[in-house]
Order: sequence, then structure tokens, then C-alpha cells
Amino acid sequence: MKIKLFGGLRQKAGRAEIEVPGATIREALHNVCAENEILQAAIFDGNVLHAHVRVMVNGRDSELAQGLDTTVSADDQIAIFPPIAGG
Amino acid sequence: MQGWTGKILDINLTDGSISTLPLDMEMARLFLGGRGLGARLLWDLVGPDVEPLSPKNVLIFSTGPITASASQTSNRFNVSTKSPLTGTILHANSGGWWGMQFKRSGYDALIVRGKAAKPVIIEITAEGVAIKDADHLWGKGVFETTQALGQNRNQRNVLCIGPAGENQVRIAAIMNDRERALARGGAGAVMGSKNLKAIVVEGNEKNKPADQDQFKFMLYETGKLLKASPLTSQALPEFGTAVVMNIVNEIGALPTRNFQFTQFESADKISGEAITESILVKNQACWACPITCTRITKTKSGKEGEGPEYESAWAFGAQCGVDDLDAITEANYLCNDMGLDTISMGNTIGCAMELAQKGLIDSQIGFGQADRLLDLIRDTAYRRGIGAEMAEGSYRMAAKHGAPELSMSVKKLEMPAYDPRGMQGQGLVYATSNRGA
Repeated sequence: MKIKLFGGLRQKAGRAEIEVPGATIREALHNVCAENEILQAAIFDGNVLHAHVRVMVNGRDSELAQGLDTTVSADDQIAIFPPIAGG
Repeated sequence: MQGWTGKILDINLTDGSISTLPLDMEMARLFLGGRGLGARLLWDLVGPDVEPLSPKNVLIFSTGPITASASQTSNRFNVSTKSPLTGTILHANSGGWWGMQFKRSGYDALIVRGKAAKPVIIEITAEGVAIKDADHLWGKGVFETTQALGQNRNQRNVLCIGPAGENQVRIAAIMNDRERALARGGAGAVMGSKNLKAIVVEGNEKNKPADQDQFKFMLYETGKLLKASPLTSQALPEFGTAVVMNIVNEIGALPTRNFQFTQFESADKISGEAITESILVKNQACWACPITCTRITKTKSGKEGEGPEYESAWAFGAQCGVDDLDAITEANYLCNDMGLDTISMGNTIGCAMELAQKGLIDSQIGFGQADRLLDLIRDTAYRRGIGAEMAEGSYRMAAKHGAPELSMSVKKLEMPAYDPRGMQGQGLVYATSNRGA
């Protein structure tokens, strides 16, 4: 599935989008971070997401589903956002 | 000065009188901050019978007790007046340096009444307060006016209007420190109606806390929080306020093509990430702010200036169906020089584009026409051609052509860059805000 990265996460990954496999959000994110410790540290605090990181699946906050345990398929798009504000 | 100077400067441009009023400390306590103080003073001075562009309206510039202290972000200040766009109470606020300098000149607020017989500026310095002739500045843009009046970032600060304010365009802004804006609701038109081109301030009074040790401790603690937050220490310095573009688009709350859609297919091209990658020269801070979210940018044609902020990138971008970041940025620069609110300007252009799309106005403008933005902005500032209709704001323009529902506004004030269908809480804010959207 397609993982879209924004803000500082995009810089840490070196690209805006990554294709990875995974049956749940947790698996997909671990695959994204598998070879990038800096990205791993920016997204996860140990095994849990940093409180300030939001993960959306097809435009919907994953917290409104089952969080990291939400099941996903190859057609889904996951977007990972660092903390942001503006106006 | 400990929070309050205790003084309000009161200037009547009709007879040239200058006086100082004592600040009612109970009023200051009950109506805390620049906006609160401004709202209460406006309530006392302006009634429902007062036309916004008549000499009876007042302009109130006001500060709060933290303004010009060493506290982080203590640069902001407020303007209150009766809006020529909405016909009701207006507040707008701005950052930069002017608010700090005004407070240091020894006043908590400035009330401007009446109308000068010919163009003037107000100058507030250690030598006193003076009303001076400004014939030579009338007609000039904000950039030239700011330079001519001796803008010096930490010593002498200029607040002024551009041609849009002079021509009483209902979406005209008041600009300070060249490219910061008291943008919303047409306060620039009120200033123009008074023949007041600029207010220049120099100040040397310090806003010292009553308890220095407690204040230093508070600054230390808030400084730690700002450094620890990835938002204020990374996202905003690196990408500016437009860092929100992609997430707002992702959740379906980015108003697109005059709010006909809630996602823009080219959002990434006009995002904070794109600004950082393609046009950013450096970031910059307002006075006493460690966040440094201001973008100093340069386009391919060599033009350089401030912006775009998120709202401005949206207004000339998604709202108009434009994905050319250079064109959006130069539209932002031109609004700053003409003294126009970028939100209302872009929103109104988008409205005109939809009116044309539906065949309700006889114009060739259409969504995606990046090359039309600059002409439409100039025509609005000078009230030429279709710009004369845009100068009235989107509601009056759309209503004139029988389609007021195509104006994306509340109380005739154009909505900013969050679509309430994707952010319902924001919709509640728009619907209940006393100034409009």
C-alpha cells in the first residue's frame, strides 16, 4: 500500500511516498521504518506512536477505527503527519 | 510601565486635537487584552447609527498587558472598528514590531476619530505626537510608503494603507512593518476614509513585570515548552504555517474552486513543503518570537518578499484552482503592496471565477488562470473594470448578479481556508463569531 509522508517526516524519509506491504497499520509502519532509525524515532516512542503523530487511512483518522491495529489492504492509502498548526 | 501604561491617546483628525485619556483600570481588568479593550472602547464610542466609512466611525489600536514585555510572541496588537464589509463590530490583529513599539511609546491604545481635510500621517515619538501632511505619500504603495517614512525595525515602525485603503475598498487591510497585516474586514478602508495614510511610532519605555523573578521563571518554563514541542521547534520554523496544507487536504477540509470541492488535486504543489523546497530564502521572526515561521521567499522572476502564509497560499491556490506557486506568491506580494486582505481577495476572485463558470457575469476569467491574478488584484485596489465589483467583497458582487449563495462568507466576511464540511467545529466558529467568518 501507499504510505504518504508530510512535513519533517518527508525529509527524514527522503521521499514523499513509500510502497510497503502490511496487514495492519502497525505492520505497515514498521515496514516503513525498518531501515530508517531516524524515521522510526520520529514516529514511534518504543512500540507506541508518539502522541503528536497522527495516522490517517484514506483520509480518516485511524484513532476513529482501531488505531495501529486497524486492518488495511493493498488499495488503502496511509498518511502520517507530524504535529502541525497554522493559519 | 507594569503591564499597562494607564494612558490612551485620543486623536480627532477633523479638528486636529490630540489628548490623553486615563485608562479605566477596571475596564482593562474586565476586558482583558488588546481585543477586549478595543471591543469595549468601540462599544462606548460607536452606535448602530454610525456608517463605517463616515467620520463618526473610530479606529482603535490596542494592546494587552503582555505586549512589549520580553514574553515570547508578545508582539501582537489589535485594531477594532466598525467594518465596512460586514457593517458590524470588527477586530483584526497583527504581529511584527509596530505593536511593541507603540506600547513602548507610552500608550495602551490609540483612538482615531473624525476625518482629516487632506491626507495626513500621525507620528508618535519622544518629542510628542504630531499630525503631519501626507500629500506626497497619497497614491503610493505600502512598500514605498514604509521606506519613505523611515522604517527601522527595532527603532521606528510604520503602519500604513496602500491604494486599496485610499480607494476605500471593502477588503482593504492596514499593513505594518511593510508586510504584516491587520487584514480582515476592511479596516484599511476605514483608515482611508479618514485620509490617514500612516501612523509612525518610536518608543523607549519598557514594559517591566511587577515580579521580575517570577516573570523570568515563566519565560524559562515557556521557552522549554517551545523548544520541546516538535510543532514550534521544527514544523513551523522549517515549513511555515502552510505546513497544514496537506493535512487539511487529506481530511477533506481544503476549500477548492470557491468551496465547490473539499480537496485540491495539487495541494502538495502549494504546501509548506513545496515552499521550503522551491522558493524559501530564509525564515524570519516577529519581535520576541522564537518560532520564526515567517517565510522570506524569492520567485523565479527574481521578486522577493514575505509569504505566502497558509491562508494566502490557499486563497490564490486551491480557492482559485491555481497550482503555480510562483504566481500565488507574487499575488501575495502584490496584495501586501496594495494593502489588501489576501483571504478576502483570493476568496472573492474564486467567487468571480464561479460566477463566470455559471455564466452569471460576462467575463473570461476561470479557475486555474494563474496569469490573471495580478491584474485582478490591481483592478480591485484601483476599482477598475470587474475589480470595481470585487472591491465591494464577494457577497455584494455575487448578490448584484443574483447569486449571493456563491459568496463563501459569514456576515459578508469571506471564510478562510478551512471548509466547515470537513471541520464541523470550525463551522460552529464561523457561524457564531461576532465579526463574521
